[in-house]
This record gives sequence, C-alpha cells and structure tokens, in this order.
Amino acid sequence: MVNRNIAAWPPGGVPPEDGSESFTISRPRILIVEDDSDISGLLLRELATLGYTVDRVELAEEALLAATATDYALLIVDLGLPDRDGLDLVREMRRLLIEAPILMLTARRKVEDRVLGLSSGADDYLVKPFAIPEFRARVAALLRRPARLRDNRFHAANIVVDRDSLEALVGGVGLPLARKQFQLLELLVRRKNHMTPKRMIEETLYGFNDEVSPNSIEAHVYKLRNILKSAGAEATIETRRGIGYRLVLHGGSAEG
Amino acid sequence: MNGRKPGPDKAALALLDPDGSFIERLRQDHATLLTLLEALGDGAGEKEAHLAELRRFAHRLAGAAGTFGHDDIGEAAMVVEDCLTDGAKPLPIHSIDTALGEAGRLYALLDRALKQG
Repeated sequence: MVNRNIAAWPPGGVPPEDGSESFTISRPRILIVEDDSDISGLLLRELATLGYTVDRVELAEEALLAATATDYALLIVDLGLPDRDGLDLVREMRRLLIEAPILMLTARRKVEDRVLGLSSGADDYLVKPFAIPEFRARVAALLRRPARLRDNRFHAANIVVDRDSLEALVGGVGLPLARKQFQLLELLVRRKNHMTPKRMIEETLYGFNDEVSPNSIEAHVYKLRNILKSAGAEATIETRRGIGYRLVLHGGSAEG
Repeated sequence: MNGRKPGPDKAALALLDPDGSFIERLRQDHATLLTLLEALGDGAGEKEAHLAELRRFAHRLAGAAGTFGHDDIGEAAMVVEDCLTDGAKPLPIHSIDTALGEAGRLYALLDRALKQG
C-alpha cells in the first residue's frame, strides 16, 4: 500500500470489513530493520508467534519512512545497514521525535560500542549471536517499559478512549463506533492538537497489503465527525486538505 | 578439542530454521569464502579490497551462525574478523597471515556443516 519494500506479517493485516463484526484492539506493531534476511526472518517468525504485527525493511531510508508514518510499539535496528550506519539512523529517529523504544542488534562486542549505541538513543542492546529466549525477554521488557504503553486510557476534552475496555466515551456516554472509527478516534485523541498525516491514519487502520480506496479515510473521518458532534464532544476534527487531520479542543477545554 | 558443539542441535534448528534456508545460506557462504581465499591466494587485484570484503563476510557470518546454533562457525568467523580489525593500517603481515589461516579453518567448518546437512 505505502511502501512496497516493507514486508509485513501477518499478510493482509486486519480483517477488511468495517462495522459488522465485533472488533479487537490492534496488536502491537514492531519494525525490524535488518539486512540479513536469515536474522530478520528468524525474528519475524518469533515475534509473529508471540502475536505481534511485524514489518521488515532492509535499508535505513526505508526505516525512516516507515517509522515516521507508523506508530510502532518497538523498533529493532541492526547497526550494520548497507546504506547508513545504524547509530546515525537511531539519532535521526530521535531527532524526528520518534519515541518508540529501540532495540539495537549488532555483532560489535566491545563495551564502548554498546555505550555508544545506548547514548545515541537506543533503549537496549543485543549482541549477535544471541539466544532467542533472551531476545523474547528483551522485547517483552521494552514493551513494558514506557508509561505511555501502560496507560490505556486517552483523554481529550470530554472524550475518553479506553483501549482495555474498547470503549470510547463522550461525557461518560459510550459511542457507537465501528472498529476503524475506534482506531481513528484513538489515534486522533493521542495526537490531540497535533496534525495527523493521512498516511499515518492509513498505516494505523490498514495493513500494508490491504487495498485502500481513495476516499476511505475521508469517509471514516466524516462518520466519526458526525458521531462526535451528535454526542456533544467538546472537540472537532479539523481537516487540512492534502495534509491530514487534527483533533482541536474547543475553547472551554482546559487541556492542551 | 575446545568443547564447542560441532553444529546445532537438530530439534533446536528445526525451530530456528524451519524451512532450511539457513543451511542454504551456509552453502552460499562456503562458495563465497572459497572465491575470496582464491583471490587472496592469487595475489591478483586489490588485496586491501579483498581483505575488507573478507572482514565484512566474517562479521555477518559471526552474527548469524551463532544465532542459528552453529557456535563453532560463529566463533571461527569472529576470530577472522578480529584479526582483520587490527587498528593498524595497513594491516601487519602477521595479522593477515593469521586471518587467512583462520579463514581456512572457517572454510573447513562450513564444509563439515554442509556435509552433515
């Protein structure tokens, strides 16, 4: 859909129908940046078995594109990439305010290499060769670590999105949302007052192999906007044509 | 003997490499290493470039082989890489000789792994 160089697992992503089925919360999405296909294939299989959605790229530039367009729960980055040093890539990601935890993979074994890796912005460091149980444990630890991943309730004005109960509320009253509308609202609430690129919405709502019709995002936004308005939400979805959408809190709302 | 495993445990490998693609990679690495050793043995062409290529090859193999249970190959590849990562430039002759000797040992280990399937 977006980047043909990104291989995604499981193929097809989430089910395509919107609204008729009971929806489930999207699985944490992980990006593997590794040019050794044997290693990346092994990691992909392990992570998919554990229930994660996994994307895989081989180049640093592809990784930057993917990570700026997608809200990943974890980035796994090899240091020895063909087009750019992995340390530079990690620094660039942090400069671009990509906040997902980063697990570095490398065959560099010296202590100073590890220190350099961590000081560049990575959260943890795994030296190849590694044992799969250790890899699993480090992934689990990194996904547990950030507070924002533990907090599954997001607020914007009188809107609350609860990922645990899969409920969206306005003024304490539940909203009748289909799955993709729920995912869209969650994204906009998490990024309240910030412009959310249309591409990021596509990446959140659809798998890489899903076909997305040209107006599907507009249709989801239109329906969600009407639902929020009917429910008396103190926030509005603003459109910036050709750029994306922003959830704007009304003047009386205290938070920003 | 140094007590290292001669190859991966079969049951573990079935989990790590269910479609057997890693053994195919070792087959390609076996051929690549032979080509590099022949090029270095001939003394023809860019010796520095061949040594740099051998170092990159050993670096990649060191990371992957151990992860897939080929500890002996991974460790031999690390030794080759370390010999070629000497801080001095150009590399001292004795480092190059040691690296080539270790690369020969690495080739023998790859050969054995392929014969064992």
